[in-house]
Amino acid sequence: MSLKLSSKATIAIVVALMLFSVVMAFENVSLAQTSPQIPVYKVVGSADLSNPGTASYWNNIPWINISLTANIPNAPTSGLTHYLLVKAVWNGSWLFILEEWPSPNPAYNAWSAAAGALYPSASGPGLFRIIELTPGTTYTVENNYTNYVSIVNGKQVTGRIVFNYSGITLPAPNGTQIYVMPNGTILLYHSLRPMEELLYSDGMFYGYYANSTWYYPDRAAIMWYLGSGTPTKDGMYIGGKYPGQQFDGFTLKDAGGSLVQQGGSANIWMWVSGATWNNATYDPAFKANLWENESLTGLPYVDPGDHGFAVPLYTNNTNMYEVDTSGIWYAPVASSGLNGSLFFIWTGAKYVDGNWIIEFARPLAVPPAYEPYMPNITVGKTYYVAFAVWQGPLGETLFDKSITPSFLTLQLVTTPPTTTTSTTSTSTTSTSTTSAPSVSSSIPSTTLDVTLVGVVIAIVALIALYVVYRR
Amino acid sequence: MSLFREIKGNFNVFLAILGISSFFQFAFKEAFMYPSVLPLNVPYESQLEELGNVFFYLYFLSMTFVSFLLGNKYRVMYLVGFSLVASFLASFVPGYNLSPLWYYFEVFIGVIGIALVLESLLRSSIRSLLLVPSALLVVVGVIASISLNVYHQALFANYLALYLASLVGFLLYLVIWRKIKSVRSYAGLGVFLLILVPFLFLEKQVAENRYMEMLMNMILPSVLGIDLYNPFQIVYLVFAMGMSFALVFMALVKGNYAAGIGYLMLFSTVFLGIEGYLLVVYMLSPVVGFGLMTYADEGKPLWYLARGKLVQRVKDKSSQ
Repeated sequence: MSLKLSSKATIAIVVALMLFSVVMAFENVSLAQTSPQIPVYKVVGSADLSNPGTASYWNNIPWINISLTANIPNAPTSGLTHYLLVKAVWNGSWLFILEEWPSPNPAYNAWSAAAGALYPSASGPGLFRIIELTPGTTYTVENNYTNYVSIVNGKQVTGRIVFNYSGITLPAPNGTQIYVMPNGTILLYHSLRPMEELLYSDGMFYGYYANSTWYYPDRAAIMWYLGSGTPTKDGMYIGGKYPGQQFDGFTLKDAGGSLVQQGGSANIWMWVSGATWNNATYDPAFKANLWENESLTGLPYVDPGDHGFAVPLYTNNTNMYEVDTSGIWYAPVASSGLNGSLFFIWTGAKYVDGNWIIEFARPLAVPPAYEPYMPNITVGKTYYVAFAVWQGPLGETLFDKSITPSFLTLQLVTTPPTTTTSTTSTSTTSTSTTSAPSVSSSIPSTTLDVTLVGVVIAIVALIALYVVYRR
Repeated sequence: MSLFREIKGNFNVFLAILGISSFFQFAFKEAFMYPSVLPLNVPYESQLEELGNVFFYLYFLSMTFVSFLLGNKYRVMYLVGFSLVASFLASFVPGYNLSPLWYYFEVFIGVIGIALVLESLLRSSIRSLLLVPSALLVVVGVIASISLNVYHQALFANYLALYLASLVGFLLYLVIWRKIKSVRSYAGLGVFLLILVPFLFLEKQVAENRYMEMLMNMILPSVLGIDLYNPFQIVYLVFAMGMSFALVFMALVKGNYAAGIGYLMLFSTVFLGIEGYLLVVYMLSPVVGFGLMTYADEGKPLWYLARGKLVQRVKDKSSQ
């Protein structure tokens, strides 16, 4: 390969390219992005959260089909939702986001474990987690640990359980409770957060165990990136309760739920069927009137409409926090202020023909006290968002979920949606107990215009090029 | 000697910069997009990311420059170069990507991208037909991105099968490029095998060790941006990655630097389109990569052969 650097012009250009690169990196220059993947259309009207998705303006907007992937590939209980349909609008002061995804088996009456922990009479599925260990994992009880107690198949024994998978051993903490199924599969009860990280790192985490009577709530979450620049990682660490936690002889570097994107932070809106779904029949927390009981929650209930809500979470490189002063799911982000923050993001949800339909509604502007933890949403700014969905009856909970592999761009646009014949139909076959939605949306007229104009310009440019060089 | 000719004479210098920046932006920027739950601790990660950023901008600048230089052979490259410059200038306009003009621009890029792929094939010899699977891969990537960004619909396709077909085609193309029996050819095959063998061992380990399988399932799809609808196909992806690097080095050893660097650009960015290219530069990257793959091709171009046959047919008809 001949590299003739003797040419002064070449040397000058090479040096200039390198210098420009360093300067651009130093200044963090944004290179051009493609059009936003989620345009938020301007509409007139408000949301009907009692029947999500029925406001007339939704008919004018095509669904955005977002593919989801497993957060922990190869675990049979991860990535069970393959796609998520999304639409978004704003009306000048509020933002509405509509989501729909297929879910063959809704998690009725399953507690969110954190909400259930507040309510002394809580009973039923979801109150604690059961982990299924990777097939082939074995265990021994080491009797020389005389100060350890373990529970195997309901029987208390003295000694420490040590798991073994492919030659990798993991000693379990004191009080570990397991159940060995007839086929040899080990179920670990009441797992602790650090234990999940240790099991996962050693390849022993196979998924959360669920059956027809023990399952977890369904969930949907939207993550809003709050840092600067273009984020590349929308995931969170598995880890301890806090960074550097010492757990049974192990040091856990990261806190579970802390954001991986270095120097970044994010706000998460988390809807949970077993806590924030205002359905007094199927949501045990609303059935028990939990949120109106300030003595249990430590927070005054401030939603006059008795809507469902989405839990506002905040994650950065140190930990995951809850944006309120009580800290029901995670540690509170502040000890005072933040009045009403837990009930600030309203939701409406319904389960129809094998699909969950959830509508999120939030004022565009947030009170100053919330601002470090929630985005103020304005026109002309690009927001990076990510989505996650959990199907609790199939074993998805916590970090075991279906996610968008990377952030998507979302922007408020000032144009209304164009008229379209977008339709969503569901079909149910007699041989199947579940119904699969089939979504067909015709191309909006503006999109067709865009295609035609783009193609015509390109063809004209190509012809012009041909004519110029033909001569 | 004119300035332009002098710069063009040093094309390999710019190609080398493009190749180096492509590799390092892939290694330290794209590859760092692995999911969070990966039990990995990368030392000096933030510093390496900074380095990756510098190489990313160098990649953008050198790709723009090389596009204009390649315009001499592939005319559509001028449009690609102008598109890259226009995209950079547009980023200074507030709300540029909210404008309908930007949608036109994306469709425009898609069309000229496909046109460039076609021009690259038509201006190359008949052996470049072996690169048709790679061309299809590029076209599918561009269409997938436009489908998501403009029509908001994900395009589901078997990207892995297309990737494997592209690898096989490129391997055969490299084998028959210039002399099959030559020192360089044998050295190229030797290097190909030397690089591929460790990946074969890795593949075996992944197939036999579930822990490795889980790890690779988290690393490779996110590094490349590919969607593996069946996670148990990860062994094929390990093989494909190994073969990709092996082919890049084989091309370099055999003397087809442009093809090697072009394929590196292609496979490292083409799958990002599945989730919708976030940046215009990544959308054009596989297109330019494909142009480079055919750049050093020798022999009568396909369009010439096709025209010859057409002329012959007309002559035959007129003589009848």
